[in-house]
Amino acid sequence: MKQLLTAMVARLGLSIEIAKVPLCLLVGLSALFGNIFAAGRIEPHASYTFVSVLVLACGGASLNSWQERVDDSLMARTRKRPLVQGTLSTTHGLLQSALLLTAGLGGLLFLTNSRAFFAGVLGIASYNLVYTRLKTVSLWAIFPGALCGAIPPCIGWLAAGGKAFSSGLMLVMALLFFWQIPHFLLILLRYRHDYAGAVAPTLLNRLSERSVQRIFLPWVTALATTMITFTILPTATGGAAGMIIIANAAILVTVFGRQLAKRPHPDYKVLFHLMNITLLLFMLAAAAGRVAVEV
Amino acid sequence: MAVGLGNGFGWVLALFLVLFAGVTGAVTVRAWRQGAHAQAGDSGGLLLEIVWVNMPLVIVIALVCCWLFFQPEPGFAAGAERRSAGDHVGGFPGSGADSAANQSVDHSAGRHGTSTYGPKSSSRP
Repeated sequence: MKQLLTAMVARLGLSIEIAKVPLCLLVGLSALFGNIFAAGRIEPHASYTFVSVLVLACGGASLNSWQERVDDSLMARTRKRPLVQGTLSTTHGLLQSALLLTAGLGGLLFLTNSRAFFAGVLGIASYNLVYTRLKTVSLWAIFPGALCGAIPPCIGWLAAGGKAFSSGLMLVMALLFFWQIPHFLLILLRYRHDYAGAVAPTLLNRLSERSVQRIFLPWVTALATTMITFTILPTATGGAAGMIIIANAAILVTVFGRQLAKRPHPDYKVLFHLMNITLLLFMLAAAAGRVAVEV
Repeated sequence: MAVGLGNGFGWVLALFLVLFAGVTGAVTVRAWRQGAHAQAGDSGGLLLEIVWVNMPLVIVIALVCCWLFFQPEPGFAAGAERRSAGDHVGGFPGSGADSAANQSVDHSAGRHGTSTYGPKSSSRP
């Protein structure tokens, strides 16, 4: 009995691993942010949206793990993944992704609304059918990939009843788009030796590490500028939240500028964590400020 | 979208826009100078770097032009826009009037619908 329980826990751990839960949590939080920002307050549909998008993202990530199981075996960073090692069967991976995708899309359809559901379908289709396939043939695949990353807050926005073609949604999506590109470039530089043996074409095939470092600064400054745009919306953040957003953006640009301009080999791990923390802090401050304005 | 450029933080945004344009220009010049002598035989690499460096600026300009041309609404949820516009008459969160104003929430069904654009019955997916 104990052995069976241990085996089940181990299997659950492997399932969580192919679902890339930590990354999907960030995706779910971005949907929650879009939802609260559109509604101006925290309502029950915010939690439904968060859970549905989290489950949907886990489904998409599981399917991605299944789709890339052969390519993953070529890189040290990914070759220990369960589907590559065979510790989980490909059938398990496929069934898990089907189950999670159905649950996530079902949650959006039955707990939120049809527009959020269609945005979810679009997000999964563009991630698993377009981006995952395109990235093995083109280094420009990062752009459709970044657009996929901008869809979760769009789902949250639509689930709250926000309008589809609006400047508020455009701004929220631009934020996530501008965050995705440097985030991806940091992964590329952090695992640059690993990517040298990968099948996917990358910028490092054409440019030096120094050149890729230079590309960061405009993207990070664009991200910071987009963050600050939120502070001037009359219906959005102001006061303390606005000051936190500005300080957050200023720290982001300063740390990146210092790391990339002064050091020949910046600490990419630190910059990677900084990017994640900056986004989380921004979403927290912007959502809190938005709710405070509404109250 | 109506924005409050004079609401206190507008100057910070203006500062960051200048910084953004300045950073893009400076990085482009540096890439051009270093690329010109380091990659004399690979003008494609230099062009690729310049395209990537300038792409965020192009995207921002495109978004601003789109905003100026189409003047889209902020698009917040219906109840939130009413509250933000100062329509607080009996409409603070939790009050009955507010719930009535926020027609996009279908409390009876436990779901949030699209009924902002029509009667509740037609909004259900």
